[in-house]
Amino acid sequence: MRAEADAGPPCARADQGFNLAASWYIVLPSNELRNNPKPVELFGRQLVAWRDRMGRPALMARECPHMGASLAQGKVVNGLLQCPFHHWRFAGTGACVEVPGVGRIPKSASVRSYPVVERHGYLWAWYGSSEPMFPLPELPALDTCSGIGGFRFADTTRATVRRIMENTYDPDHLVVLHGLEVDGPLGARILTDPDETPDHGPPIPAEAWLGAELTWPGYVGKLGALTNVLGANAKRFVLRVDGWPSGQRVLYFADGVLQYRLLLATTPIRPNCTVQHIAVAVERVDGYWRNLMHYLVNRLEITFASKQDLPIFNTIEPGDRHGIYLERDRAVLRFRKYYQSWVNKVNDDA
Amino acid sequence: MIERKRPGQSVDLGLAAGWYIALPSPSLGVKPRALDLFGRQLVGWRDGDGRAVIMPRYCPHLSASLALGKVIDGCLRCSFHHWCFDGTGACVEIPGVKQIPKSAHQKPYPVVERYGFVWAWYGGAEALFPLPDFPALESDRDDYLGYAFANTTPASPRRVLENAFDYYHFMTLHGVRSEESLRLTMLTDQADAAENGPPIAAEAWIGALLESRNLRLPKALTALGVKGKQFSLLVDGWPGGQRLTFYLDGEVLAKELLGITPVTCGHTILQGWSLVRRSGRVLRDVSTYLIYRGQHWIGTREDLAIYRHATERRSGVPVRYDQSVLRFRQHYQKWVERAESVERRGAVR
Amino acid sequence: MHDKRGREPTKYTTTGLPPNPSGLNLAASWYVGLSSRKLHRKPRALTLFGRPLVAWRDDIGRPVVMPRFCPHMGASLALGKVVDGLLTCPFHGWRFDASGACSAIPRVERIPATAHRTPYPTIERYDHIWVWYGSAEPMFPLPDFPAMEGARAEYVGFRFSDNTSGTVRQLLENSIDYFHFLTLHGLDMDPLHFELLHDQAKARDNGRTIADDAWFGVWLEGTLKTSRLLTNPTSWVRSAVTTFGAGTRLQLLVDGWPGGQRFTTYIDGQEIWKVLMGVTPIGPYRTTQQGWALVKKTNKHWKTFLYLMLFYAQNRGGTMQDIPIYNTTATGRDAAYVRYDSALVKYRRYYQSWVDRVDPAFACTDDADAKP
Repeated sequence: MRAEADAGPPCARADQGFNLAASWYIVLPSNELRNNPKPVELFGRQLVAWRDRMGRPALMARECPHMGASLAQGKVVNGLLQCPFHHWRFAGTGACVEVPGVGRIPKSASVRSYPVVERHGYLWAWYGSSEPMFPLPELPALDTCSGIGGFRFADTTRATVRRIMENTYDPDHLVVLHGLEVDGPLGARILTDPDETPDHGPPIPAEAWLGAELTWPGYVGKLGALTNVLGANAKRFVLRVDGWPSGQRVLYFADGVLQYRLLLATTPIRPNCTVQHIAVAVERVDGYWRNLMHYLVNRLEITFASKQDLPIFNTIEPGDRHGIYLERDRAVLRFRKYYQSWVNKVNDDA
Repeated sequence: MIERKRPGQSVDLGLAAGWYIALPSPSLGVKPRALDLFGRQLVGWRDGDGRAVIMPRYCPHLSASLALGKVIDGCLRCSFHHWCFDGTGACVEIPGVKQIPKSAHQKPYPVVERYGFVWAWYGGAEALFPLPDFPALESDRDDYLGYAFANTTPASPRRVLENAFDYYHFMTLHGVRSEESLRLTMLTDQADAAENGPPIAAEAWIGALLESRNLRLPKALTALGVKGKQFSLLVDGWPGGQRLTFYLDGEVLAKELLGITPVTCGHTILQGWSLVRRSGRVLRDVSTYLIYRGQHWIGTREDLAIYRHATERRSGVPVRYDQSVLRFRQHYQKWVERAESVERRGAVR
Repeated sequence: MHDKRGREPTKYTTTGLPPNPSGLNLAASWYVGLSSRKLHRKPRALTLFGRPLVAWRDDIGRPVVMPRFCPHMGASLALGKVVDGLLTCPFHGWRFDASGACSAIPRVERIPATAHRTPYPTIERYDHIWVWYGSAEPMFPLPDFPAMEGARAEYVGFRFSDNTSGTVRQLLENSIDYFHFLTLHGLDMDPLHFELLHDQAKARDNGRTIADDAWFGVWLEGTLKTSRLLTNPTSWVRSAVTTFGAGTRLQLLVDGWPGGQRFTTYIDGQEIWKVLMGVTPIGPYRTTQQGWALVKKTNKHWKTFLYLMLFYAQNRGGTMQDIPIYNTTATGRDAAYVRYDSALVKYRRYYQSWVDRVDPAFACTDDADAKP
């Protein structure tokens, strides 16, 4: 088996600073942003999130251009964000619309604002250019599941965005770290075409898209015994992932039957401080008690597995260096090349 | 004070030359005290006559902290090898050694102890003007009911001092309302500021008068029986501190001496005295004092909240009503440059 | 400051020595990594020389100290387990042996050449794990301390470990700076004699010889003035813990290498105590002094016990006076030396010469981007 010692130019920038891809990121869960403006640290910057009269969200730089006061200390007045110091008022676009006591508004009196979208119960922001390079992907199942069927959680980690995202492309760690005991090899193949994942949701533009399929046989040993009892074992498991540089849609099948759909996304607060968000829509099965059991088993499995990743994320070497690649790490390497190509697309003078 | 070990690493604060409050007098007793001031590590102590001395903290011998030392016979004795320094910073004794090395001395800062504070001069070895007078705390002390205040903020000294010149924020941030807008006039003649105190060195002086007509007091105050139609604020000072007089309906209501303690970058203390004028009637004076103190506390909190979350990275976008703030900043900048040129010429501390 | 090749800059202070340096300023030397009882079967994360490292024991219990992050994808090896004497990464199961080589990867036959971590030379002795810093191979063996070896039964004592925010050099030069014993520690000695030692034979009592260019030794002796308990209680207590009530003639022998020291003290010619002091440079301005403090057993149990109590008081009391100095002294500043500093100046030159001997490939600068 050959080893690839150096990943070459696509990873060359990886050693420096933040290493954020131009992409869509979660700012915060929607229910955390109510009537008052909220200070937010994101992309290593001090920002403020707020809602106008109609509840439309906005995200912009926190520093008032007049004398540097924090707009997050202000309030929303007539649908505009008002600075508490001299009451300068800003629209969601970041433009300064009113300066009480002054007729003409200075040209440089605007603040930088970020494109935002509210979806699936989160507020998302685009980083890397003034206009998004692709629309925010969707996982419609998240909106239709209700009652016993959906759950979500978030964990703040010391890892980077790339580290969290590439985890899904790394089948080897399933065996070693997550303790998957199986009686056969794990397979991982990169998908080449968005058409291979039609059931994940509306298609993501090809350039921004990457997908993979991980497969493994049934569980044996202690894990096998446990999953047999819970009715969670099968002969063949498939984990299919597709996504954009900073988020993924994951579908999990046992013997060809869909178990759940999972959204994995990130909030890059500052370098080596990233929140991992997971939102799941568990498929329904017939029968109330069967359905409840099915939900609980899947919820347990996902929560437990994610908690196993956290100690690694929280103690890993800081930054995104390139490591040593084996033949088996092809999928991770492919993901890194893809991720770095979107880091290189960043056109953002901070 | 807990001494932080960031040994000898000074920070340049871009400070204006001037008089600053080092610490309150009662805080400096018999024991020497480590002092973080002007972004530097200093030590404060009292000599044999009880005079306050402020000088760099590290002994010229092997850089031990003189704040661990002891004052013996009016001299500060380093705890490490007992080198002794007098109030002029000269090394007067080294046990076991007859010849004292030339480099064995410290350069103290000019110091004045007044108004309950120890003041230190920043910007060269000699003060460029005397500490301004504030009669309300000396000759006229009996006319007032006073209290000391001290607040810590990450804002820079300049931000704190320009605040009084920013008349617009009185309306927007503090809610001072009047039928016509407030008006601020920069003063050119120190005689117009005589109520604050005797003149300050002309070069260092800056002053302004803020006036309002047809004042609309907040309901909370009118409910407490406060009446007044005309409010004005007379402010004057030097780069480093200010004197203020507050008038209500033409009568002096209160005065304030505001000093600055620039600890380091992102750490400033604003402290001083507030004095409420007595009318002679005890009950009335008590209520005026309490109401004044209450509104001062509220106003200070409003300012501190802005300071705590504001940034000072960019120069800002000024508009029409910022003229007086810009004038203040120009004046302040002249004294920053003054300090820089004097510090460059003198020995490195 | 010295540049990488050890050339001295042209601008100096009056004494011709560069100002005392800021930051790590580490000599090539043996340092204490951690105490033996802190390392069992589980690997342990530790920070040394400002670097993130991991310590673990192989199948025969030998300690290994090496960089913390797995070369594969950067996971912390301190989260792993030692299985069959191999440190196993918890992420993908890569296994490392005591030489730092990756000896096994699950389901993979050929192991990449770059898949290794270079361990630091280590020795476990005197209940501590010592680590060599500054070059691939140690430049001299770890000095010995007989009181913890063959002669162990003749001594009784305690371990000490004191954290400071000082630098390595400050901790080591402390005992070369004899004058501070009189001033800071208040020892009233007259007459007093101090000399720099040139012959290791004079330091035989401390232990076997150390490599000549790595060795430095001094000798201090004097007569302690006695004082009355009632007129001057603190002074009386101080001389009691210093002389152990065994006499008034004090002699102190100090010798060592650029990372640690050995001490022997005699009162009226009789050996009373020995100390082995090592230094743990965790990072810039985070240095721990740790080692062993031992009293020589006497022919009476109660006397030995009394000596031990007095020594504990002296050792702890003295340390409590030294630590505030270590923690609050500035670096990067000129020094105004006087007559009694001549040995100290020589010590500083000696120490810096060992800083200059650090192989640049192994140097740990204060810069976080240096190679692991």
